[in-house]
Amino acid sequence: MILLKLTYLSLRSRMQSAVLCMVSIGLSFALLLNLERTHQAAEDGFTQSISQVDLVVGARSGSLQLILYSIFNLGQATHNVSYASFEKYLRHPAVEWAIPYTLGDSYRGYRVVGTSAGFFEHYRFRSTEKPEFAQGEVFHNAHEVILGSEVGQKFAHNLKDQIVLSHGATKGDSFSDHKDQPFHIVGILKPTGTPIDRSVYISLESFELLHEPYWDPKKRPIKTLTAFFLRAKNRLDTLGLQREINEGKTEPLMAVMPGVALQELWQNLGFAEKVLRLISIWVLCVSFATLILSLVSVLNERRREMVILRSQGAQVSDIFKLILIESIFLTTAGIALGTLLSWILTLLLSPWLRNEYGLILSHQILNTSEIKLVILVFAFGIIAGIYPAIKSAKTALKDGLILR
Amino acid sequence: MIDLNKVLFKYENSNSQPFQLKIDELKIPTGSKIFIHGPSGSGKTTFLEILGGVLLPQSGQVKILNTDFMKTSARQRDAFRADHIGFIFQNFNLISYLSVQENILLPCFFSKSSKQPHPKIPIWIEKLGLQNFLQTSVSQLSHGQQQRVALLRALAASPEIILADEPTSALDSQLRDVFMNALLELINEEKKTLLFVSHDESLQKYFDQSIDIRKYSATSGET
Repeated sequence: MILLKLTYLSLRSRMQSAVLCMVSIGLSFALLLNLERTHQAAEDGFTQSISQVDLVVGARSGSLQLILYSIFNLGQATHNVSYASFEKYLRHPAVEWAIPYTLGDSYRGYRVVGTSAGFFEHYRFRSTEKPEFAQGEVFHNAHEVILGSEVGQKFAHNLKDQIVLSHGATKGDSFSDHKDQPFHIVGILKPTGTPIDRSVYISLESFELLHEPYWDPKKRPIKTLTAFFLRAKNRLDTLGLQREINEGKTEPLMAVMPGVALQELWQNLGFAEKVLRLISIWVLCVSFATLILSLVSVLNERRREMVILRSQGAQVSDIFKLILIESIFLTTAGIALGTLLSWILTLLLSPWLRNEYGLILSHQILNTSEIKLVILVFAFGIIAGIYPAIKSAKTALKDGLILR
Repeated sequence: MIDLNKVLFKYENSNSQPFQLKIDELKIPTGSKIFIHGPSGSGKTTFLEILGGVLLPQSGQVKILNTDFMKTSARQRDAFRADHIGFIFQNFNLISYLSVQENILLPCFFSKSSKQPHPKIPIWIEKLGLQNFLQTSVSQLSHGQQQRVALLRALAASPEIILADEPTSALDSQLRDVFMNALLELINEEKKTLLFVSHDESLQKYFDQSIDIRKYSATSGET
């Protein structure tokens, strides 16, 4: 107890350097925490871009390609899927629901997705969140369009505005607009932080009409889709369904489990995060070097203090403990400061991060994996204290009771 | 009781002259007040550090209160010091960031037997005029007050032996007399053994017995 009290009072008498040291550890710990948090949020956001969809089905190509164009609206499908296959699996006894997905057109650089009303009912991201309407509702008729939040915001669109879609997935000005068939905006979605924000939704029927103005669904049914999403009635049926689709003889299709594919993709893309993490650990090392330095640099000034304590009955081991406790104290205070700082930052920044980058930060002060970081940093603090503590104890032993 | 027998301590350092302290026999009975004098560098401090158990001689026997230092570990000697020896230093050696009260009670915290502070401490505090400064930082006290704090600290854990190393050399003559009177009054009251080291031979009058440390010490070549 006396050692704790002495450490505290001694540190208080060296307030300035103690606070600097604490702040240095605190800032770097906050950096590490926030990086970790953002990393986690990015990973969650990415791997849960789509949930509750058991299989994504498209023309046989690479699974990565299928995931990229069907979930992230990146790249092109090389082949289409016949509507007949979609209907076949829609009616499959093991399938709970299926959502059609057709790509190919764009609106001022944003992808147009032809789908069914089922998309707004069944599609989920981040496990349980569904696309919700900020304004309006789902399309009921042809030439009605729903905008993702980013699209609506960027062009300051309101309900009932008329917009013209373009042929082909082009960015910027299109050479071929569907000027003859303007669309009415019937809904604008809330921000989701997923590719949904950057998409425009119309019905499959609208999509057909765009390309064949006199199309009559009674004379010619829809022929093709780009892909479709499947939900099995029972999770256990997923593998069976996947095999059935992949081995189907009627059409070369391929089914991918999106969760697994996204996880794989993330791990391949994650090197940047690893580099960032390395950097923050490096920053932490530097701040512990600062801690060691600040402990060692005052040892000389503190020689007299140690000699006095020794003359009053403190053992050499007490001197060792005194320095170690100081290191632990500074580290603990630094951790507390860093945690607080990063929590405040999280609270302040999370609305902005959510809107701007679709990153959902957890509002927990510390989660389990972050507690591991706390323990790690704490251990760092103890290790950092060992050298100065040994040095101080040795000096104290040599100095005896009277500084000459 | 302090009992030194055939003690030989040699100190060799590349940048100073080799030095040795040789004490064939020295017995100091409990309750004695001994004045140890000699010029600086004659081994007074070394002598105190041997008695305090910080330095061990190369050979001989150092027995204090029936504890044989030569047969104890450094750790045991540290613990022994905490329980049985009080120190007063030339430059007070107070802890600057502790209050007067905390400084006085410091040895009680380190004592292995976690001694209660001496029951008379409050009386002495008043006697030495420190009662209004208990919560004051020691750095705000005058030299005379600081040395009185150090005196009370030396007595706080009720040690049997007080070792004083030039405690008056930072004080002017008036403060010196005030301090010496306070010291001897408390020592007599408590019947402590006092070993008082100083180069100032005018202080000899306060003591029953004096030792010239030069009797024991020698720089090499003139053994």
